[in-house]
Amino acid sequence: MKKFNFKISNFYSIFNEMSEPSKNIDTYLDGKIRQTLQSNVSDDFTFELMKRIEIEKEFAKEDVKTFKMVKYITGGFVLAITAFIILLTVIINNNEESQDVGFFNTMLEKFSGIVESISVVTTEMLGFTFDYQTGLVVLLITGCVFLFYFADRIIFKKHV
Amino acid sequence: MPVSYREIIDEIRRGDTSAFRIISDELKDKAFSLTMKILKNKEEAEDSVQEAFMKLFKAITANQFEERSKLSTYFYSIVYNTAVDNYKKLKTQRFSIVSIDVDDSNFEEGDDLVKKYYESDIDKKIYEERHDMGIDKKFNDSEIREIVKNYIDHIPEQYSVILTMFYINDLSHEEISSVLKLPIGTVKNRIFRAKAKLKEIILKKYSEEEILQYV
Repeated sequence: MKKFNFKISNFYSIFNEMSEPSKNIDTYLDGKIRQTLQSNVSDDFTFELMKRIEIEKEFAKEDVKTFKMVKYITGGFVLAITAFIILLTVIINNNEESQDVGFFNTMLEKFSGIVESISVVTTEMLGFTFDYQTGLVVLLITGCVFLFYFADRIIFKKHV
Repeated sequence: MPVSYREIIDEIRRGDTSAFRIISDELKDKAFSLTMKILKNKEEAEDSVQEAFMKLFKAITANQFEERSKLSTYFYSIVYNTAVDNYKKLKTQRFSIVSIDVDDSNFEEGDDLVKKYYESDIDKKIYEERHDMGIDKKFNDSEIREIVKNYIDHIPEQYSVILTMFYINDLSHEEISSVLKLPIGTVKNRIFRAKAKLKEIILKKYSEEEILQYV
């Protein structure tokens, strides 16, 4: 009886012959699909894009400048308000300790005079007194409101 | 001159915008091919691709692009989303556009895949020729190209967008799945079905041996 000689390569060759044409058709179709799907932009596409990029770059530069300026203005304003409040507090304290008449005392008297006249008006109209301490608080609140408005409108919304 | 995307990105971040031209030159046609499959209008597609490039530029300069992902994959994701957004904006003006919402439930065994294909005039001719096998037909490469073109032009966007991402944008199944937020199985299935149907159409007209003789 003839012995059956099993060789795995025989099977490989059978399968390979079967799959090869199909694979070739697939490769052929892949190429055709690729060719069909490919579309090209117009010639001036890159030129137009680079123009937009340059404009965007300029805008970004301007934004940085504006942001810097806003930072300085805001910082300066905060500094000015703080300095004014500190100065005013020191003057008031000094005035209470010594009764020397000087430039600052004159200024303080004028300020007190303005505050008193406002106080009289508010007492008459609204029914509450308005002294220099209330004035400082109102000034501080105004400063905070201004800062909040300024920061919200210019800084945060621009950089979201 | 920078050679890799990494170097190009560094150049752009240092302020050399001309380096962006390298990215544009490499990706513009591929991005345009994808956008065309969604918007189907050259002018609108070009505008959309420009918009996508601008978004990429801003993302690079603002350090929003995470370098863990491939730049091309990240960009194609922007391209696809921008095109879909523009499509939705234009949809209010053009009611006839077929929805590109991804939903497999309408498509069974690839039959609806070619519904529109058979309805077109040119393809009716091909469809009729299928029954006319007695005529001796010779293999014609340009005719096959025409069949493929008609087929691609008429299959739903659900298929043509994925085919473009796979064949033109060179995205892997996983990358397509993440861009379109679809299961990988669906992506593989759509590519397979679209290709199998095309093969079936061509093999009805030409024999396998006939095609292979000329490949």
